[in-house]
Amino acid sequence: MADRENFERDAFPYAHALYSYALRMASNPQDAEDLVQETFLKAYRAYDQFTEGTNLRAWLYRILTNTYFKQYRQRQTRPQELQLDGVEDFYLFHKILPAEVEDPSLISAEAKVVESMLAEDVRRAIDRLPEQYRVPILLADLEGFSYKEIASMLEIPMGTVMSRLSRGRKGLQRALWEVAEKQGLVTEGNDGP
Amino acid sequence: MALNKRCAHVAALVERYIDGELRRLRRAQVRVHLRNCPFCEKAMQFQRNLRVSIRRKVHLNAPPELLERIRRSLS
Repeated sequence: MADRENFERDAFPYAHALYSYALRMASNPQDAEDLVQETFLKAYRAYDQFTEGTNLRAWLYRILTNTYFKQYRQRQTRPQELQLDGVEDFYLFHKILPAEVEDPSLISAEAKVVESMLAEDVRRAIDRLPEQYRVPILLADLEGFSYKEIASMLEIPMGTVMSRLSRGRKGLQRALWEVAEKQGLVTEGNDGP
Repeated sequence: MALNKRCAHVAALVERYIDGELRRLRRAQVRVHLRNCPFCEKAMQFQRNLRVSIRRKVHLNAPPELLERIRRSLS
């Protein structure tokens, strides 16, 4: 059993990451702040039921995610879909790669195009993903949770986690490519194979 | 650049490879292919770097006032 006196010491180191996550879930910064505050409050009240030594970070994310679904999510008529016609594996890599490069040793593996994007635009690309894809991507790619942890947090089967990640990542790569084109970060001819 | 069949097979597994979610045998198969195929190796590194870039762009520190407000609400 965890001791409430230690709560601040144990849980506060996750505050910044939880806030970054909340910002991408909620539709505005005020809601994100409220969501984080409520998460901490709920976690604090339940802290004596938390088993010490188990994953505190996963527990906090679970509380935040549940709170979002119950209280903050915008009403949706039905789950939104992603249009992924022609989006293959390695989509962005192929798009960025100059078509004439035949020698792989000349290919840069750095995601320079994405590095040079404005943070704001990258965030917007994520925000525009339908929620069913956005949430697993945030949990896996940004927070590094395992498929099993994500399945348990979202109460969906592991197979669903995998298919949403796969589609969602493709959708995100397409969105990032659109940003790159709009900002003129890619030269003409970078049209991939 | 055209990918052969094996490349296409590996491309479909690469995200799970990066996630550390492949079982031992498949993981080893992917690793062997990456070692022998500089193109797929580059593509895999790109996917991995892409995530790091995105993570960096998305991370924001919580406002100090929010932390203070939470602290107060707990006491």
